[in-house]
Amino acid sequence: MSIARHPVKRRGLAFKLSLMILTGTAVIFTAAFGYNYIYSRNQILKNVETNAQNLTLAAVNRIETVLRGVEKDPSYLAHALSEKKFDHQTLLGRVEALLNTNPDIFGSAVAFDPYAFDPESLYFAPYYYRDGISLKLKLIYLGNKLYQYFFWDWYQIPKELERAVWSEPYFDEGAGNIIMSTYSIPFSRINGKKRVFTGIVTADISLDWLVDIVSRLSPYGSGYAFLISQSGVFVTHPDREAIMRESIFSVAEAANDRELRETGRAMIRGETGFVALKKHFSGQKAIIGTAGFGILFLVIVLISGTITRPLRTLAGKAAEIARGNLDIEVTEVKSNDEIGELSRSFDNMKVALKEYIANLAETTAAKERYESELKIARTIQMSFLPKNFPPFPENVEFDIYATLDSAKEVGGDLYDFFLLDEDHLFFSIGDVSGKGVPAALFMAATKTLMKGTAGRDMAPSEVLSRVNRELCLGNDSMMFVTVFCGILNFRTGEVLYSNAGHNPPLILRAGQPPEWLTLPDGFFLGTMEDSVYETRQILLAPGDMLLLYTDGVTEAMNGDKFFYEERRLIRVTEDHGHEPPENLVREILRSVRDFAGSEPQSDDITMLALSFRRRAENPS
Amino acid sequence: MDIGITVAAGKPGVNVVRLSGRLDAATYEAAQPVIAEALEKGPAGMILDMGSLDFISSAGLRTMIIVWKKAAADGKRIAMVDVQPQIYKIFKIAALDKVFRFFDNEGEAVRELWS
Repeated sequence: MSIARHPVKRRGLAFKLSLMILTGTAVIFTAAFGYNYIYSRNQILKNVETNAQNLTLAAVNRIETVLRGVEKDPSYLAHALSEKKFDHQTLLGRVEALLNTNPDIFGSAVAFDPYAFDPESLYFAPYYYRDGISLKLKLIYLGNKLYQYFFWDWYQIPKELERAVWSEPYFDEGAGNIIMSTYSIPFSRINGKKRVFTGIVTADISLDWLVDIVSRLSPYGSGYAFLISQSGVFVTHPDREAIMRESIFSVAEAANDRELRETGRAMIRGETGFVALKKHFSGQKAIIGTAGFGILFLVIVLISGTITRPLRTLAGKAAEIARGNLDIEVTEVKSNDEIGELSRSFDNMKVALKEYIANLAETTAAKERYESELKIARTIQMSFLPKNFPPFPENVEFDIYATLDSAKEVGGDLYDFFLLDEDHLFFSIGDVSGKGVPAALFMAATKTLMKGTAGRDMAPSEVLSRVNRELCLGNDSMMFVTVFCGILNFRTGEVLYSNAGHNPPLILRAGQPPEWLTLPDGFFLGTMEDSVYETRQILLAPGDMLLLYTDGVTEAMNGDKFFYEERRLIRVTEDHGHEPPENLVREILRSVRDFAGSEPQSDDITMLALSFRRRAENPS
Repeated sequence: MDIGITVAAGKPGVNVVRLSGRLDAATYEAAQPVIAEALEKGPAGMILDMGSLDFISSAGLRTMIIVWKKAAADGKRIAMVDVQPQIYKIFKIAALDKVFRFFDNEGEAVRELWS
């Protein structure tokens, strides 16, 4: 027996288990996490947006409040100036009062057009501002050859636009060294019928408070807010260094961030909106996720390995046992789980297998011995029977042929024939009850006794009586044998015959249908010591034939459990009765075989055909 | 086909054994002890109801002879009842028709042998 080995590397149970669990976990986790992530993200974004909007709105409101406050008083002053003329001192007083009532205003100036206040004076622009350290109000007069204020933006732009204007934030180095923005309100006077531009009232505010307000906007701790001017310059920024020095565009340029540039432009256009930052997903989450799965995989592999280790060991042992090594030690797994049970069953199986194989070997050896003995027995048994045909070639007066086909190695049928003298032939057929070795032994005893008993001047009935008495001696098992025997005088064709319970032979008279030979009563041999047998006589004409057979012929069975029966035997005998004995016997045997088909032979099949050819030429 | 055996009480002291199917080399080993026991327990003898027995081989005949010998030794009687023709033919060939008594039915057997 050979065991096929698969060259393909097999994946271990632990590997499969790990892979399946991990795949399952990954799918479920990804689905759950993905859904949760998207949902939370949307929720958070919504919150952030709302929050940011609210914060911005609040900040804008505060800034507006301050700015409106800052705008109010200078506007009144400008209005007052357009209605009437103030003298120098009154004007100074109004400006001073303006600063005193508005702490948010850093400084304020009233700058007149050249010669508008005093026809003698080119410049007139008193400017009050808070001193950076003492916070006391200081007064200076702007305007000289180097600072011709009426050419400056803060003067020119509102003058040209004829409306109040907030300047771009700027860094004032002269007065306060702070970032400021200036609110400039133009005023005019009616000169004749015409309104003539007269000057500008300014209010400077420090942008420090703006920085304070905006920098306090810190959404979610990680966020920050900044304010840009019309030109994109940072007015406030958490990084104070960037204020006035950097613009949103310079930052975008430095980072080569096109989106930031677009955002800046949108902000300048006064739009409101939200922009997604591309680099929000840092990859950290991916790393954590991957690492998590890695650890999970290791844990699963470890657990699977631990669980399947005894299985792997068992598999190895099983392969070893399959190779025929039954002495291998199956280490018992001391756990009460299925693997422990498997291991114990496996060990039991091994022991049982070992026992079974030992028994089988013993049985096989015994069987082989028995079979070989049976074969020898068969040879011996067959050697009892005359098997060389024609047996008496010099005797042309008769022709005889016989066959015995055992159902088992040895059988219980018998036939025999031998010459008693130069013109007497003794012939017999018999069937021992049962089959196998006991029957064979009984057959051998019967055959030997018959040959030893039969004699020239002894009637067949006497032969049967004597053999019966011998067989009855000590026959406790009640074996018996049916025997038909006869003596042919081939000089005359006379046949003397007797019967001990055997089925009647067929007699084939030349040119006539076969018929059964009438038999005397006779109990079979071996059971009753005092059985009496009778001899009868018939005369055979040349061409007549006797066919002796055992019930193995007529009781041969086919697959449908039908018997061969006498009628089939008669038919074959009718067809081939005129042929030599050997042909007839062979035809009957073939017919029986064809009938039985594949059905196993259940009984010995024995036939003896004796044909009388002619009377001896030279009667002695 | 198998041998079927039923044992019934026919008359006090007489057991009835019903045989069916085939009594041959394959079945006689099971049949013999049952028949022997039925005979043993019937002090007056035994009735063998052969109505359903379809076939008897030489091994079956041997069983019959053993039973008959035992009955003869103990002085008991055996009645064969309702034997089918092909079985009777075999009994006749073996000359067993001379040693057994044959009847059509149980009643007749009881009347003839045990009354």
